[in-house]
Formats: sequence, C-alpha cells, structure tokens
Amino acid sequence: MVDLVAELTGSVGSIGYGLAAIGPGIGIGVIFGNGVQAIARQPEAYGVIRQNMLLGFALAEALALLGFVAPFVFGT
Amino acid sequence: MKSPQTPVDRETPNLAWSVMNNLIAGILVYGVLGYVIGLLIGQASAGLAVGAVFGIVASTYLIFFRLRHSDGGPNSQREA
Amino acid sequence: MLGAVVPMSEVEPGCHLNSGCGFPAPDASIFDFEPYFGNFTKPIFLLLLGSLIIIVFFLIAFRNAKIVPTKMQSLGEMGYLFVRDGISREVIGKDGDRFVPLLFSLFFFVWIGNLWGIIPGAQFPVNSRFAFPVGLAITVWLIYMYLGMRHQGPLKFFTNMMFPPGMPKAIYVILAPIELISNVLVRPVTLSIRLFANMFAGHLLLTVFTVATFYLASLSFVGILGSATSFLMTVIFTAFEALIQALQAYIFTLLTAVYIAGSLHAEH
Repeated sequence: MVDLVAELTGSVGSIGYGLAAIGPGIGIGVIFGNGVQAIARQPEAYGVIRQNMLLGFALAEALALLGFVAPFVFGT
Repeated sequence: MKSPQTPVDRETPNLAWSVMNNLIAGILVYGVLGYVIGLLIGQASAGLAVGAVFGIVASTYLIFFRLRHSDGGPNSQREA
Repeated sequence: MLGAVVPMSEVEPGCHLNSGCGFPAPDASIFDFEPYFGNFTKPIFLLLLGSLIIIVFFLIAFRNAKIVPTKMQSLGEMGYLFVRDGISREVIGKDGDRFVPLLFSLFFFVWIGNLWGIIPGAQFPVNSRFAFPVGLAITVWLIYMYLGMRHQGPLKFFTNMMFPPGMPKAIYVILAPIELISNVLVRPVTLSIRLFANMFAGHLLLTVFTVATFYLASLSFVGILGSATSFLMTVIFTAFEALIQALQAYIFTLLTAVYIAGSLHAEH
C-alpha cells in the first residue's frame, strides 16, 4: 500500500484550465500591445499589421481553447 | 495606400470578431466528430484529442485564408 | 474553524474572524434572491426600473428638442451620436441608419443592467443572471438570421456563409461545417457568455473584497492591515468594474452591428 503524501480533491480540471489560460493571456496582451504600437508608429502599414496581429491572436487563442478541451480528454 | 478610415475597408474589422468564433466552431465540430468516431473504436478520449487538434488546424487555416483575401491584406496593398 | 474557507451559503451572516468562524467565501448563492412575490425577484425589479429610467430620461431629453439644446438634450444627443457614428456608421455604413434605434436601445439597456452592479443600494448587475444575456442574444440571433434570409435569399444566405469564394474545392468539405456552426450556433453562445461571464466574475470579485473588509475588521495589526487592503481593493475594483460594464455594453452592441452587417452583404 502506497502512503498518500498529498491529495487534491475538487474540480481539478478548472484549476488546470486556469493554469492553461495564463500563457495565452500574456501572449494575447503582448500581441495586441505591440500591434497597436506598430500601427501608431506606421499608420500606412495598417492592413499588413492588423492581418498579422489577428493571425498571431488566432494562434495564441487556439492554445487557450486547447486547454479547455484537455480536461475532457484526460478527465475520465 | 488606404487610410484606416476609408469606408471601403469595412470587412477586416468584422473579420476580426469572427476569429474566436471560428476557432471554437472548429474545435466543436471536429472534436465531436472525433469523439463519436472514438466511441465506435473504443478510444473516445483519444478521438476527442485528435479531433480537437485537427479542428484547430482547420480553423486556423480558414482564418489565415480569409485574412489573406480580405481588404487591406498585403496582396491588395501590393496592387495598389 | 479558524482560518478555514467555507461557502457563504453554509454560515449565518455576521461572521467575523474574532468570533472564530471561517472566511465566508461568496459562492453562487449570492446570485439567488428571495422573490418579493410570485417569481418577482430583485433582478427583475432592477431591470424594469432600469428600463423605466432610460425611457423617462430620453423622453425628457428629447421632448422639446430645440436648435440650441438644453443640458439634458445635449447629453441625450451625445449618447445617440455615439451609437450612430461610433457603432452603426462605422460598422454597417450609411444604410445602417435604420438599425440605429435597435442598437441604441440595446446599448443603453445592457449598460443600465450592468451599471446596477456598482450603484449603492442595488449592487447587483442584472446581466449576471444568465437568462438575461441569453434572451438578448436570442433576439439578436433572430434579427440577423431574418435579415440574412431576407437580403440574400433563404438558401443563398447559408451557401454564401459556408462557401467563401476563392478556396480550393477539396478544402470546402472540411471548412464548410466550421463556417456553418460558427455563424449559426457559436455566435449567440459567445455573445451571451461574454456578457454573462464578465458581469458574474465582476460581482463575485467585488463581493469577495467587501466580505473580507468586514470579516477582517478589528483593532489589531492584522485586522487594520487586512481590512484596509481589502477596502482599497474594493474601491479599485469598483472603478475597474465601471469601465468593464460600459465596455461590455459597447462590445455587445458592436457585435450586433457586425452580425447585421454580415447579414446585409455577402462576403466577397
């Protein structure tokens, strides 16, 4: 019989999603912060900057949503 | 070169709002599909994982495609 | 139970650190109210009162519209012009002017519903009850689906939605379901959850710090430091909430305008 040192009960999946949301949160902040700065410095490149900004946002947001799926995959 | 205020360039900001909806829809459609296929072969969790990742890839491609072909993209700017 | 955290619904009110009971952590029970009569609860009352305030305010503001506006009239015009120029014309364009009444009512209805969260005495954002955002989102869904079928044709609306031009044929098989689910199913869901979750979390946050202010208050080092910090956080988050409430009302209205614009003109 293995001695239990520590046990975690309750909604572990929601804690996992909370942890998984930290990274994309920081990432999205960096993307939009730098995007707005870039537009302010070079307004004529608006189209290109926004396109790449949204692409970066999509990639970061995908990770956050993947974190939402992970508890369902490993939960059972 | 178009300025941000030109009324013609109205589709990109509207596209911006659909990015998150597209990602969620991609995960939903292919996650559910993967889960159902997984249930049939007895690996529901693995099916959900594979489906969700595939959904993200597909919806990211969709977003990339629509951004590339929208107003104010680098293609339209190069022509102007 | 010193130092423990217990759900608020399981302890009697008036719990204090020195009386030896655990911290009454606010839970979902703070969103439930005893009905005044029948099913008439505080959120419904606040909602009706809010609608009444909006109606009376704009009736007074625009009753005797003059060229040189009074203070009330210029305040009302400011709100109207914000919705018309900042949201409708920016997103839909000139032909969106016929939707300004809808967007205008929606903006102020959502905003006053949120604003109840920081008004002393009321202290409850109406939109943190999930049914209200869901009702609004269903209304928006019906409007943009109807407009899309009316302006693009009942079948053409869905095919325009599912098949954006210029894609390789084989890719359509994979991407068409994503587009359909995204536009028909996910749109109203994210619209309502975005508003609900922001208001729910904001109210919970404010309650945690308000409860902590009373729970920790005593004439000791821990009491004064903890209570003062909690009170400061309450003030900071109240200001923050005021910003979030206006922002969420704006985003809700903006997204409604974006969906209407998408229904009026097919993507090309």
